[in-house]
Amino acid sequence: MKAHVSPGSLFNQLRRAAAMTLAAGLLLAGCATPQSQPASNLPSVLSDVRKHPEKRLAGEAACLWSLANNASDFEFAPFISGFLDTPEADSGSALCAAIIEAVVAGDLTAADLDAFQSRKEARREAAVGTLLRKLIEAHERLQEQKGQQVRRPLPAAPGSPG
Amino acid sequence: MRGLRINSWRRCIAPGLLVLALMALPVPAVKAQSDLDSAEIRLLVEGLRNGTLSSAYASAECSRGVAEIPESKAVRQLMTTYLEVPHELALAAFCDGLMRAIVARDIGVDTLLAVNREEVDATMLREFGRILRAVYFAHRRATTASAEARLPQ
Repeated sequence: MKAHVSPGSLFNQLRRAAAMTLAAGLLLAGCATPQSQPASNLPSVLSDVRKHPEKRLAGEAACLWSLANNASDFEFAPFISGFLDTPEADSGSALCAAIIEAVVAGDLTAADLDAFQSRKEARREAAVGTLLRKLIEAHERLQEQKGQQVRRPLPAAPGSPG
Repeated sequence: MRGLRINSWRRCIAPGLLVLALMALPVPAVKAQSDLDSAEIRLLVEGLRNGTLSSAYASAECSRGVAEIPESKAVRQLMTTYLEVPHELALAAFCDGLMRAIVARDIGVDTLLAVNREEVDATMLREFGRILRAVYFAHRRATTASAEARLPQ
C-alpha cells in the first residue's frame, strides 16, 4: 500500500508504527481478544511465558496470531525486515521470537509494556526506544545461539573410528 | 564541502540522512525526488567516507537540524532509551551513530535515497528499519571501544 503524506504526518506514522507494531499493537490485539480465546490474549500469554519459560513456543504462536489479526494497515514486515536484518517472509517469526526471548530473559518486563499505556507522551516515546533496543538485543542473542548450534560438531556415529 | 549552509543541510542532509528530521521539512506533501537531492546525498556520503567532510561537523549539523524540528522532543526521548544515553546527549548520539554507520558503509546511498521520499512504501519502511539498526550497532561499537580504551592496561 502506498500513501502520500505530509512530512509531519510521516513522522507520526513512523513513530506510531514502531510503537504500534512492536508492542502496543500486539497488546491491543491481545486485549481486544475475547477471554474465551486465552491462547490469543497476548498480554496474558506474555505474563504466562515470563513465569513459565517452557511455554516459549506457545508464546511465539500467540504472538504470530496477534500479528496476523492486527487490524493496523501499517506494513510491519518490511520495517522489521530492515530492523532485524531478516528476510521479509520471516519477519513475523523473527519479531515474535525476539519478543518472547526478551520476555524470557527478563529484559522485557510488564512495566516496560505498561509504559505504552501511559498517559504521559514522553513515557510512551521512551518506551518505544526501550522496546526497540531490547528487541534488537534479543534477536542478536537468538542469532548467536543459532550460530553456535551450527558450529557445534555432530556426535560421532556409533561404531565410527575415533 | 564545508561551505554547505544550514539550509542546505536541512534540505538535503535532513531529508536524506536524518530520517527522523525528514518529516519536518517544509516541502510539498507530494514531491518527486530531484536529481539535485540525489547528487548532493551522493556527494555528502562520499565526503564523509573520503574524509573531506568531517564526521564531527556533519554530526553537529545533524544534531542542530534535528533539534529544530517540531518532533525533536519525541526523537530525543526515543533515542535516550534506544541508545541508553543521557537525555541531553541523545540527539548527538543518534547523529554520531548515523555518521559512523555511513562511514563504515553500513548505510549506503541507496538506503538514504530510499528514505528521502515523501512516499511511504515497503522499501522506505525497510530502509528506515535498516538505518535504526545501523545506528544502534555503530553506537554500540563506539561506546564499547571507548569503554575498553578506558580500562587500565
